[in-house]
Amino acid sequence: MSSIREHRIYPNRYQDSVALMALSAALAELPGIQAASVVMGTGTNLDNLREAGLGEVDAGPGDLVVAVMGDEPATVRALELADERLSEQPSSRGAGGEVAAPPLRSLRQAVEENPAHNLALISVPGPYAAAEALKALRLGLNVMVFSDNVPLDQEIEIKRFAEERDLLVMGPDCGTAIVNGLPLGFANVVRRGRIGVVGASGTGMQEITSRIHQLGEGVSQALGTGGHDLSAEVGAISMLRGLRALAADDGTDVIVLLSKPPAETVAKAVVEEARALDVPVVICFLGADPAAFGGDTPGVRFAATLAGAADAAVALVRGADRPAESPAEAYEQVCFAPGQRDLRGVFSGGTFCYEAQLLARAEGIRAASNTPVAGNTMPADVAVSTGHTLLDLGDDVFTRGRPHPMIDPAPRDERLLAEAVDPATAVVLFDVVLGYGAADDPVSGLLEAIEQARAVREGPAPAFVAHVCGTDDDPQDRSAVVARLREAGVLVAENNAQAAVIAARMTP
Amino acid sequence: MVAVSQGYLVPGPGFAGTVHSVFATACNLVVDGLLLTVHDAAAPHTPTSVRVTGWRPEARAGEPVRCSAGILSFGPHVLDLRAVPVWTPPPPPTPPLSLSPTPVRARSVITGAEQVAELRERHVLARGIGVPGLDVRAERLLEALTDRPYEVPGAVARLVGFGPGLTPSGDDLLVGTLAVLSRIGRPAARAFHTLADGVRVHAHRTTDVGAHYLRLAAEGHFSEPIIGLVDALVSGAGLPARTKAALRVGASSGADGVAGVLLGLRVLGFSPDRKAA
Amino acid sequence: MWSEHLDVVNVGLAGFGDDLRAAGGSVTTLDWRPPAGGDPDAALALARLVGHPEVERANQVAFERYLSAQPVLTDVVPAKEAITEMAGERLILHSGPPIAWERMAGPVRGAIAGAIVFEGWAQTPGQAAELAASGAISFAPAHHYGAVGPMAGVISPSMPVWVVRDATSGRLAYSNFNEGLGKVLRFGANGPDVLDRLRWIGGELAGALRPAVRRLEGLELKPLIGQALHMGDEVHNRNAAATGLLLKRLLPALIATEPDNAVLRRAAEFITGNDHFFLNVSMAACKAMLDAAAGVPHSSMVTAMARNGVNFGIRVSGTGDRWFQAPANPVDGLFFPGYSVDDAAPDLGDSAITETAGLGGFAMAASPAIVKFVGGTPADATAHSRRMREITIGTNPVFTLPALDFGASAAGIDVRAVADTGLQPVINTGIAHKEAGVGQIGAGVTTAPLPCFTQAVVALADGLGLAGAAA
Repeated sequence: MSSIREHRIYPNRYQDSVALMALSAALAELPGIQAASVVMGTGTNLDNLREAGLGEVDAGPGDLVVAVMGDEPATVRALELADERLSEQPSSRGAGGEVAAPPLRSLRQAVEENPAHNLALISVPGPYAAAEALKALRLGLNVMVFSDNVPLDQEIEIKRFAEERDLLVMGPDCGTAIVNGLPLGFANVVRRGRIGVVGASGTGMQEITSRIHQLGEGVSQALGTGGHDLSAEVGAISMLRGLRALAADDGTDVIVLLSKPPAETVAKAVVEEARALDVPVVICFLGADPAAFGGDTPGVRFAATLAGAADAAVALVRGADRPAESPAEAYEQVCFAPGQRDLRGVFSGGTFCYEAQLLARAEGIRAASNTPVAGNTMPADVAVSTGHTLLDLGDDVFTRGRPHPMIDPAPRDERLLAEAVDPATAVVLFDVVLGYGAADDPVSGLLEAIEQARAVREGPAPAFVAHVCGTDDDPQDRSAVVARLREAGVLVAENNAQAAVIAARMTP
Repeated sequence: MVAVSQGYLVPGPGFAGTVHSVFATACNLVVDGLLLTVHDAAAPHTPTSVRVTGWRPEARAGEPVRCSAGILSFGPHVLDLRAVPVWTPPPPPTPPLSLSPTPVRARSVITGAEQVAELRERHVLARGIGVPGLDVRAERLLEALTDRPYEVPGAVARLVGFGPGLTPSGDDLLVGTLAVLSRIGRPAARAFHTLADGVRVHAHRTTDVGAHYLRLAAEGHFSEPIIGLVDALVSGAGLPARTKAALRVGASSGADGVAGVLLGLRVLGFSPDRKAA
Repeated sequence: MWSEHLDVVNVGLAGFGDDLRAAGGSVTTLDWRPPAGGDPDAALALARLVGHPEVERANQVAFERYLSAQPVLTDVVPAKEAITEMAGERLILHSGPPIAWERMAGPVRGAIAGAIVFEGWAQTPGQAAELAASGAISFAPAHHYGAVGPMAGVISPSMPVWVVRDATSGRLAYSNFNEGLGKVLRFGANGPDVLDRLRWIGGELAGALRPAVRRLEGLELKPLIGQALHMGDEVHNRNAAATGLLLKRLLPALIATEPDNAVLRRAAEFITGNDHFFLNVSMAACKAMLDAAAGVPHSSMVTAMARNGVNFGIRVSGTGDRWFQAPANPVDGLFFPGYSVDDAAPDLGDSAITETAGLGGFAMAASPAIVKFVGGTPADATAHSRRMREITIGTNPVFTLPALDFGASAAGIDVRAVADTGLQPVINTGIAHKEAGVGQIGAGVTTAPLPCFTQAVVALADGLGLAGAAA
């Protein structure tokens, strides 16, 4: 019987190599088959088929080729077998049995399944966040919107709707809250207590609540408003609501309000509301002059720093009028090489960068920053620092869709290394943020970067000054983190304000 | 289904493309000429992979792929990539192998290579995944790289697209060789560039998936297990574990890639004959 | 809320849910995906409709009307008698949303050409096609006249139709006769044998069935369908049991009319030889139930899903006669030997009216046999039926599914729920060859395309003044 060559081409069909080899072998073993090959139709493989006497095949590299040689009935059988094997459905479907309940996809499904739900935590991309918030409110849930980049008109729509329904909205752009003792978003483990916080800054709230805990007091509720709440357009709907809610709460004895400088009319409205309450209120409007709002009265105290706000609240809840002076962290002036003159800050917390700039300005340091405070400037190139530079690495220009440095610290550590090896750098200032939401190990990468900088750099290394925002009860354990940093020769201050002042004063 | 990590070459928060191919635990997506692979977290990183847990691919080839604001969707699948850590390869091991390593150092690399070769041999025999003809083509490449650089393109052409499978064996071998030559640094720079040029010229001759990894390799981008193996050979640390990890890749790809790594070492003169000398 | 136990729904980053749980909180993390197909404006319009009192009220009314409809088979008459607009007109009805002759799919054109020859308006299918292209024939969706037809769904004035009456509202619905498998008009075949069979159906068969059906004095179809669901039908792609049940009622009546013995034999042979004979009756019954729910202002309940071979279209109770259309999704199915996906015409026909009414893909748990078409398991079938409950207003207690512990079948698709979850209604379907006349080449499962539902959501929001940037 004469032998013939046959082939079949399967366009854009992919199988793993073991499957193809097994099939080639199975075909070659069929009686009457002299040669068989199942390959992708790459030029090299086609050349090979020709050399093996399997004939000319016209196929592309994405095509699967079955080529056989043998007597006629055998080649037909072989091609049929190949077809059968290549068309087999993956048998991963599992046979019979109970199918697990599919996961819930929508808020409506969640509320229908469990009507006890009372709060929605929303962290979807900004363009969809207001829609999810609105759905949650319509279904009777309180809402925290972690998402940023929500259009302002949509923020106003959801906040007004929440007022109508007598529900709470935190955010958009609300990074932190503690409600009924539970951490939402980025939050630290703090004991429950009698101080309530309403804040427009996530890391600022983390600093205040952590410090309250460190000083031995606790937090009743920490309500975030989102970064845009105190704009003229939104008019502090959430902060005013939060303030009234905490004033009416039996568990809250002292209230702390926190914001970067608000729109002036809005700030006045908030202060006026605070003065009308029976509960004492500590106000921290970072960078604003208290005199513009009438200064301290028995019911309302102003604080210039985040730590100062926590100190004042703790004093009030303990019945003291003024906080005790906290001793400044001692530091030794380091000897720098000539030409080592810059302060470089690499922050993961936006408010820490902001507060540090304010305090450094007060110490006479004019710095470049990607989020400059009044008097500071934008750097010419955010990728390369020159002169005093304080950077917020959580800002969009650095993240570009990548995780925030509090979640994935690697990009921040890299930037810290770049600053530390720059011969012009005298002092490197940085923050470490702990708590839920933050990286499990925010320190190892930092320490590696510091070690590498010291190894690479010729001449004296810069001084490293840091502060650690968090508590000993956080999953990362603040005292362990502080100990590791100190062991590596990092000067660790009590709080962000103190770190900023020390760093500024060390800078030659 | 949750994304747990992504490779450093996965593009930013917004892009569009199509599903290229679908396997039991992985999907390839074509995006801007790049091939992204969404695969189970049990498999190691590549520069262009998104690792996920708890899924069974249900997309079909040709379906659109969309990523907006960090939410990647294709077929019925949706992945949130916004807070996913990014895998980046570690820096090359220090100190690097210099042009003339000390005899002790050279011996240790050769001993390591022998150990790797033995593990690979066992792996291939146990699974019956030897590809006839691959070794002859590999020898040809070795001769070209060491003695006759003008023959490199021809030797590369005989390897690209050779063998069965999604990434043909010849492709995997070339990637392994490029990995050694790229990570060992200066002494291998010329050989790397000669080989990379040849690979770039011929990459179109293989499957889409094979071509993707060849082009990445020619630019110095490699997957986690192959980097781990090369670095372990240089540093001597954790060699058996890294070898086994490299062999476990794909069906036969791992073994072919390891063959390429061993070939690369021989290009640099780390071969048993030298140990004897 | 300060005294309440916090019970959180986590929408977005999964890590936040894990943290909350680690801190001792109760939390449900959603498998969230961008709603409304990822269009942020439509997503916002949707959010404004969620829990909207007007929509909820309207849906209650529409769903109640659907549930209380009582479809009854009452008559067999020529289409031009049932649909008076067809009398004396060159009007041909087709399946799906409106479409011009130039854009029609191959099988639909073939069927229309056949119908033109059947009516005697042209001599050959070729001349018929020319006549159709000349504009001398009017075309309209069957749905616009209370009628439905499977596949090409072609109904011309002389063809007989089943008449189904909703005893609750008095409204009438119609469907044509099922010709069986193989070369048939609904798949675009129009050869002499096809036309001969059509003539026999319109003449002898309809003539014999008319007095028999009338003799039954209204055959209640809901109980019959309910019974078929317990016998392995999902009453869309499998009608074997339902056809038997119909025959059981029809045959004694037919014999009682004392027809000619040869006529009786041919009629019985034809009906018993076609397991899909009941499909068209089922479709008319579904159409009657859903038309009862149509036209309730602001209701988001779907009242029709249909395909014309190019587009998939849906109609919604609260948006009147509008169609919301998108290209049909591909069919995941098995092909008869010798055919592949390359030969398949896009999804076609009005038969998705059965899914709209809670049967077919929604009742797949009733019919494990059907699951084989997609290489699935009985567990997949029950999963489909269960999942559909996530996108419906309620369930139909008359249609119960043994595999779900005799739980009721999901019914009353809510466009808001589809757009919100991205869960697309499942449809069991036959697959037609893309060329006219080849016939059925496979069967499988497909879904209703999401864009239809998001368009409907935006239209509903618009109707309440809730679309647009700020509301």
